[in-house]
Amino acid sequence: MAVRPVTQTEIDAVFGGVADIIADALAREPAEVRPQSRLIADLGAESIDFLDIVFRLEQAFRVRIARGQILEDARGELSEDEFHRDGVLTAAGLARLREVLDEVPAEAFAPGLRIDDVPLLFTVETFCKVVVRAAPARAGAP
Amino acid sequence: MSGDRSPPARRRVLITGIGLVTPLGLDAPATWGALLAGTSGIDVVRSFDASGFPVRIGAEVKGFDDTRVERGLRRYATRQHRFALAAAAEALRDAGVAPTPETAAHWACIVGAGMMGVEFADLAAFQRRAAPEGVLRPDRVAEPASAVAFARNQPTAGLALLVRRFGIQGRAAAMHTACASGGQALGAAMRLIRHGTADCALAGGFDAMLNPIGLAGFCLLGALSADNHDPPRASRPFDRSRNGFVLGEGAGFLVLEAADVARRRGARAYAELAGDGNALSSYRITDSHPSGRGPIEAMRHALADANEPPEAVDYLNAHGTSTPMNDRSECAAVRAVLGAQAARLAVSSTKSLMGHLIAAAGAVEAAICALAIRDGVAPASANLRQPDPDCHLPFVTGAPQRRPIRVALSNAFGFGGSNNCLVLRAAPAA
Amino acid sequence: MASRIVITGTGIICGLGRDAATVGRALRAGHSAIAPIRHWEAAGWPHRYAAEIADLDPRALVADRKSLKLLRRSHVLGLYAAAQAVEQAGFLGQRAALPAAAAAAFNDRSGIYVGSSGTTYQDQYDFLPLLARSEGDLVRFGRDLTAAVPPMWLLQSLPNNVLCHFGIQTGFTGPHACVVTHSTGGVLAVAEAAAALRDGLADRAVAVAHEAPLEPQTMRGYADLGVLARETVRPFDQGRDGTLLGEGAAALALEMAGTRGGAELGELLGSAEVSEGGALLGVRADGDGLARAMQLALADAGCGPADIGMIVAHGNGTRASDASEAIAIRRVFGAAAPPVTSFKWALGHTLAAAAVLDTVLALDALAAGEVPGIATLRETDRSCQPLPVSRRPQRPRGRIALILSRGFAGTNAALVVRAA
Repeated sequence: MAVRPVTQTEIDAVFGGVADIIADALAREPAEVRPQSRLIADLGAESIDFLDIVFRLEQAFRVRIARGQILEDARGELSEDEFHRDGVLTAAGLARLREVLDEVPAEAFAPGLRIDDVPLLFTVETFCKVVVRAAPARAGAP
Repeated sequence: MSGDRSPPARRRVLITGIGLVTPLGLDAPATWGALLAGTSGIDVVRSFDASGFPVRIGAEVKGFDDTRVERGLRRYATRQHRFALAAAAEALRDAGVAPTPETAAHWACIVGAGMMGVEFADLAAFQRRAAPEGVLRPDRVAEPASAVAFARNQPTAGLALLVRRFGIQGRAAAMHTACASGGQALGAAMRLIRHGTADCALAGGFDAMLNPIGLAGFCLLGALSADNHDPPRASRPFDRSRNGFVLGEGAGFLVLEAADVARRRGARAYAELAGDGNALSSYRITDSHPSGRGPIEAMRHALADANEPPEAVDYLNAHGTSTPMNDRSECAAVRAVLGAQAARLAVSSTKSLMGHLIAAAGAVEAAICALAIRDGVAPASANLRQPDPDCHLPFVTGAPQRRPIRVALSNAFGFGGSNNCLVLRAAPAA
Repeated sequence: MASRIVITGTGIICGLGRDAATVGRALRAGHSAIAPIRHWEAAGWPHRYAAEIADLDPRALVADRKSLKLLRRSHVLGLYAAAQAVEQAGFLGQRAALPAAAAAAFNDRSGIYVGSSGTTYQDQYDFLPLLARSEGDLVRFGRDLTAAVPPMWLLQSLPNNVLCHFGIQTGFTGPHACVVTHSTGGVLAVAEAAAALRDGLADRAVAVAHEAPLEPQTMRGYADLGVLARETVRPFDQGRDGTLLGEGAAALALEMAGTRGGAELGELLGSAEVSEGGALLGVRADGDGLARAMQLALADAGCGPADIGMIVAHGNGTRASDASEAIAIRRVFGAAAPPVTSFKWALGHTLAAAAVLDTVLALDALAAGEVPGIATLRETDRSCQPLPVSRRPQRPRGRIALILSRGFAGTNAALVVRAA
């Protein structure tokens, strides 16, 4: 697998902080923010909110998360063309994405999934895993 | 189609002067020439060290001579103001008219002003003085500071310099709706002349966000193309591989005159400013509605205002920022509004060569439409190698396209959901 | 005969209160919101008096909590005032009764017009830590940027934020404008709204002006210009020593008369704005621009000086502006000016919001039949005589008010409204 596996213990360790940040960024009650909550469909996020959430996660957990990290993790060593064509994920790309987003139900990974629509799949747990996998910030950075 | 379709009593508004300071040239002829030659104004940023930034390219105004700005006003004028003063002076010279003590009260000055609150050097000096550890210390701010720095950094400074320099004593207003600012300023000026509130107007837009703070602001949003390795190709509106816009700077000014006033003095007109349409997207903070809702209404209102049907449009200067979202929704909007004509007109985004001038964009691009009408040539949309299948319009590629242009549209859609469309039309026979 | 533009809702928030009746009562009682600044540490400042809004909690003022992270203090005020005006006018209730297609058309014919001074210095403060850290090294600045500055900085700082967010909040998609002109921006927003209504581009519009200039660098700037008073604003007073800033927002809900027979608070009769085309920041001693603005506004309103029942002067308390304003009023009204007042002694100078605040309060004053006195007036400056200002309340001479406004770029503006 292209990315390192994440254990439930690791997810649990960061969930509280991640959920608080997402709740705050999306002006939701903490109770509404569950591991399986989808950021867009369930919690009302729009594209600008993802930037906000990633920044806050970086600050709170003292990590660096590259923009588009999840897609980069999924793409791994595949070339752009092998990963998606005309905006649609290839079969190989879809399979890799499913491995990285193993917290998302399998039905969501239907053929024809557009790369622009991938954020629709993201849940709170997705971001817990991003935080766990993220590199520690360089010394001297905030 | 007959050109004379406006309701009888309404005053027509002519464009009698153009002034431009852009990444393509320091005046209108240079800009227009470079545009038609396909020269790119986009390069590595050189006016400050941007090598540490995620995006290091931009469309800078090159070699601007500060002595174009009257010495007494220079210290009150930041970079964007200097562009404005120079472009406005060119427009007035070009029109061969200027406010006089007798006519001053009948001149309006309506501008789209850039949003930058403080010039970078002034902000850096402020930080060293008042926030040495990065946190504002009010006691340090309490010490007296330069009133001149305050004067040039307050938001109405550009307008103040313009009315002072050119002696305008009628309506004076600065507006800001992000990328729609310049277009909306022209539309507002047009309406003032129609209503008789003014006979003439100095109208345009100016912006200079290509500085550390402005560049930072857009980098943070992820809105810019990060193709640092290939600057001239970075702005590729409607192309399948487009990945963001390129930040530019500059100013565009038009002299607008009531047709009766212009004729009385024998002025020559580039074109008529015939219609203005505005609509709010009221959708999301930054996302565009994929159907093109917002831009659709703006274009429809503009055509209705100009009394022109969709099939009359010969050329569209698209907003065409080269972002994935805008270009797709704009094309959907154009097809929805123009119907069959969407396959027949010429379309280009001049941002492909000069980048995005933000508050100045709508004014500069309207000026380009006026030049296109005058010369009967539609500039090309550069860097369009593989059109996005979702962006299916007859783009001018390669060389500019020679064709009579009687009616042109200029689109300007801004952050925050303001959508503006202007209609320009070949000037009616005297 | 042009159709009437009626005012069917108002909104206001300022140092003296959050609705017109409360603020009006406080004015008539001689209360001022001017006090030492509390929301940042101003001890030791020579100019630390201003009209703050106490206990400002943005969460209580803005309906969409998620939008708060994108809003500055000034935007929160503008959204609050605009929402109040729309609520009073009942626009959303009116729309709710319509079927879907008609509701979309309703939105298309509903406009939003905003006036403010524009980006504030405070917007740049998010960059102070990065500037400090990078110590003049732009390479470091660029490298550390994404870790040090919130990504939505630009969106928080958009001058047109109120326009954007109020559009999303209400769903209005019609004609619109965002004027960022010092002080006269409020009148200009109202004027643009009126023009859209008269041109038949909209059936209704909200005109809102907002300002929150009470932060260190802005106040420093005004102090450096030499226009700030020590602690009191005394419009037209012999001993006046300058102006003081205030924060606030106000809004008018406008629509064409007769569209639905709703309760009218008043009527927008006319407006005008001109520039003196001279000094960048100062005013002409002869008040020429203001006189012209008044004359144009009266003409736009189809009124003569004798029709005006009260004047809310700009009255910012500076020596130069008050003197030239008195001359301008004399030029237009001769010796027969109606009662003149100003509210900046109580609310501070709220820049672009001032004229709209003054308009809302003028309507309130006319409804109450009482022009609030200038409580800080001790002795009218002889050179301002004969100006009918008073410390005591006066009776308006009729139902029409003239509101005056002046700003940088030599701009001068006037609004004419009639109370129902």
